[in-house]
Order: sequence, then C-alpha cells, then structure tokens
Amino acid sequence: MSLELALILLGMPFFLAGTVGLLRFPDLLSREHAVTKADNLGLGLVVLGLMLGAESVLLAVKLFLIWIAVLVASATVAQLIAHTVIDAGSETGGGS
Amino acid sequence: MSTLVFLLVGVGLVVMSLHALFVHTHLLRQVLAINVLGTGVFMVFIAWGSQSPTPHADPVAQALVITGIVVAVSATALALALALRIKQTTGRATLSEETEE
Amino acid sequence: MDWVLEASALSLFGPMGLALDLLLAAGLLWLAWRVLYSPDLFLSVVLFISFGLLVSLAYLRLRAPDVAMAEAAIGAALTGTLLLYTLRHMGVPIEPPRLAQHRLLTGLALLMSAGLGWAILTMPGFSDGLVVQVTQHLPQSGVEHPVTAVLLNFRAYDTMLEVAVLLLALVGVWAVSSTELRLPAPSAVLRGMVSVLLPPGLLVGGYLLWVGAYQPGGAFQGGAVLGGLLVLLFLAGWRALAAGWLLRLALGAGLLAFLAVGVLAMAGGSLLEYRLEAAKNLILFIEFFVALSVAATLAMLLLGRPGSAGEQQP
Repeated sequence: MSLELALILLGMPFFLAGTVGLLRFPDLLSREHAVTKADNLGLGLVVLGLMLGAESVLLAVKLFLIWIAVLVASATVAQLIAHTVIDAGSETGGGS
Repeated sequence: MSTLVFLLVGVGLVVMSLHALFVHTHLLRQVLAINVLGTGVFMVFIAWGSQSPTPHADPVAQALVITGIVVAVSATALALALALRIKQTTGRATLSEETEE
Repeated sequence: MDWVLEASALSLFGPMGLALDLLLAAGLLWLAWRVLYSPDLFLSVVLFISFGLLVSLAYLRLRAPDVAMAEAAIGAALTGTLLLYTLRHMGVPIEPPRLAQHRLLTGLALLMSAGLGWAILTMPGFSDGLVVQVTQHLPQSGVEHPVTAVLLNFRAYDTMLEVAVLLLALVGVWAVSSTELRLPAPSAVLRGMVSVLLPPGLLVGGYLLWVGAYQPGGAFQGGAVLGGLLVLLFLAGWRALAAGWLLRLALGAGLLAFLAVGVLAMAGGSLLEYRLEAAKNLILFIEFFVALSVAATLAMLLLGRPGSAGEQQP
C-alpha cells in the first residue's frame, strides 16, 4: 500500500517539471522535449503505482497498456511536430 | 455535493457562452461559444441525473447527452464548413459586417 | 459491476472529493473563459480541447462514464480537430476582442446567471421515476447496461434519428465544402505508429462496442475510436479508403441496419419493438453497423469530400 502511494507521489514532480518546462523554456523544441520526456516518465511511475494497487490482474494489464499507448502516441506526435518545425525553418530559436 | 458544484458550473458555462455568442462576431468564435453552451446544458443534465442512488446514475439523462454530443458534433461540422465557405466567398470571417455596409 | 471507476480516486467522497470537485469546477470555468475571450483564436481552440477533457473528468465524477468517453473522443478530440482544420484554412489567428462597448450585455448576463442559479437551487427534488422504470424493464431489454438499454431499446427511435442526423450533416458538409483536402506526404514516423497502433486500436474499438451490453461503452464510443483509426490510416497514406462505393456503403450501413431491424420488428409489433429472445442479437447487429457508420462518418466529416482525385483514378 505504501509503495503504491510512494510511486504515485514520486511520479507527480515529473508532471510538475514537464509543465514548468512547457511554460518556461524559450523555444518550441525544448518545450516539447520537456513535456514528452518528463510527463511520460511521470505517467509511468503513476501507472506503476496504480498497478500495484489494482484489485485484478486484468485491470493492471489495462493500466499498463494505457501507458504504452500514451508512449507511442506522444513519441510520434513529438516527432511530427519537430519535423514540421524544422521544415518550416522558423521558431526554433537557439535551441536546436 | 458534486451535484451542486457541477450544476453551478453548468449555469456558469451557459451564461458565459451566451454572452460571448452575442459579443463576438467572428464565426469560429461563435461556433466555439455554441459548443460551450451545449456543454453547459449537458453538464446540468448529468449533474441532475447523478442524484439517483442507483450505481449508474440516471441512464436516461446519460443516453440523451450521448445523443446530444453526437448531434452537436454534426452541427459543428456543418457550421464550420459553412463558415469556411463564407470566408472563401466573401473574404470575411464574420456575418455582421455585411449588414453594416 | 466491477468497473474501474468504483475503485479509483474518481469515486472519492468527503472533503477530498469536494476539493477535487472545486478544483475541476474552477479549471472548467477558467478554461471556458479563456476559450471564449482570449484574443488569440488558435489558443482558444487548443484550450477548447483541454476544456473538453476536463469536462469528461467532471462526467466521471458525476458517475457517467459512458458520457465521459463520448465527450473525450467526440466532444473534445473530434470537434477540436475540426476547429483546428477550419482555423488553418480561414487563416485569421488573431482577432481583436470586442468587449468594451457591451455594458448592457454584461449586465444582462449577470442577471441571467442569477436567475438560472436561482432556478437550479430551487428546482423540485430529484424524481426517480424514469430510473425506476429503466431498472424494472432492464431484464426485458436484452442488454444489462442501462445506458445501452435506453439508447438501443427503450429510446431506439431517438438513436435511429441521431444516426440519420449524422449522415445528413455529412451530406451538408460535402455539399458546401469546396476545398480539396490537402495533406502533407505521409511521414515514415506516422506510418510506423499506425502500423503499431492499428491492431490494438481495432481491438479497443471492437471491445468497446461489445462491452456496451454489460458495461460503459457502446456503438458511439467504439465508433469514435474506429473513426480515429480511419483518420490515422488516411493520414498515413491509405487514401484509397476514402473513395468508391465501399465508403458510401459504410456511411449508410448504420441507418439501413436500424431501419431494416425496425421494419422487420413491425411484423410482430410496432417499429423497433424487439422480441425479448431476439433483442440481444438484434441490438448487437444494429450496434455493429452503427459503429461502422459512426466511424466512417466522423472520419469523413474531418477529411472532407473524397473529391475528384479519389473518384477519377479507378
């Protein structure tokens, strides 16, 4: 029970860091980097915590699949946005 | 308690979006306002239905709202297609300036 | 009824639950304010999507998971994408706010919120009449989930007309839109994602459709997932999907199946009055085709008219 809570609490600062990065970083690519990397890790920890607390194996598997789906989607979308930014050749600032 | 909070949120959404609907002239903004307006009404429905003690709240209200969401997206799609056509034909994204001229 | 919800934080009660509700409420009102009044339309549209996701959380708090799913997939994601697409083609991202000269309207809005608030607070108590009726007749509906029973049996008439509205809206969109959909060349990354997500996506769509008989889910939620997959497939280069009679058949299948079952049911009773022993299969039959139609229609609302390019090639 306490490990479950600890993992969830451990995951939360990553969301905070990702959000702060999204709001404070100067250019698009580094902001995107902050959101995708920190949030995915944070979500992983939260999902792991929830899986430990899940009352059935099926539920735990579903939670894990949600994390995988988010990983695949956010990785792809991040790539697509980055490619668009690079192709447009603007707004990359000094960060690329 | 959730019921009361979200009933009032629903009222807030309806009032805000009605005001926005009258104040703004840009067509996209008006479509946004109508969508928020609909969401406010749906919120009142669902919040009211959540008072039912059964595990599934009020299924009739939920079925109505699901129907409403699908109809809302249909109407929105049609409205947006019309807005885009108006912009392409007249070069303007509003309706109101035509009456002033 | 062991749905996830019962065990999750979203069924919190007491002060923690109230705190969560108030946080959600404040977030909803603030986001709505920004959506409606921020001078940057692009920002408004993006925030509208976040707003829809918060609304869906609020529906979960109010024990309406079916509605939450529909709102997240259709209300937030699809409407948001439609708005983004239109915004890009209209090309007026910044629009000056027009607030200063409308004191009267602001006064009226305040008056109205007071009136509506008063009406809500003094509404007569909740009546369980319809809920009791649904619960009593649930064993005769052919399904075990009350929301699906209402949608596809007790009020099937509404749902049939809703499917017709969806189809009509698409016809309308096709009639007025003149722009050909211009898409960038499909990137390898996107194609990779689609090939990874397609099988589980189909599984999730099918599962949602099937599970609607017992649990939150159903034709519209499943159809929305499948529609999203269709859009992804299209973006990844499977353009041939959007052309020809197969597409048109998919678009009309839901309404046709509904009508066919409804009219056949007239042999023994009246329109859409299923016999008990056949009800479950009939409902599943209708739901399957409705999900197919919902998927195709939602995708085509987004993708626009398949256009001459798609029709002249074959």
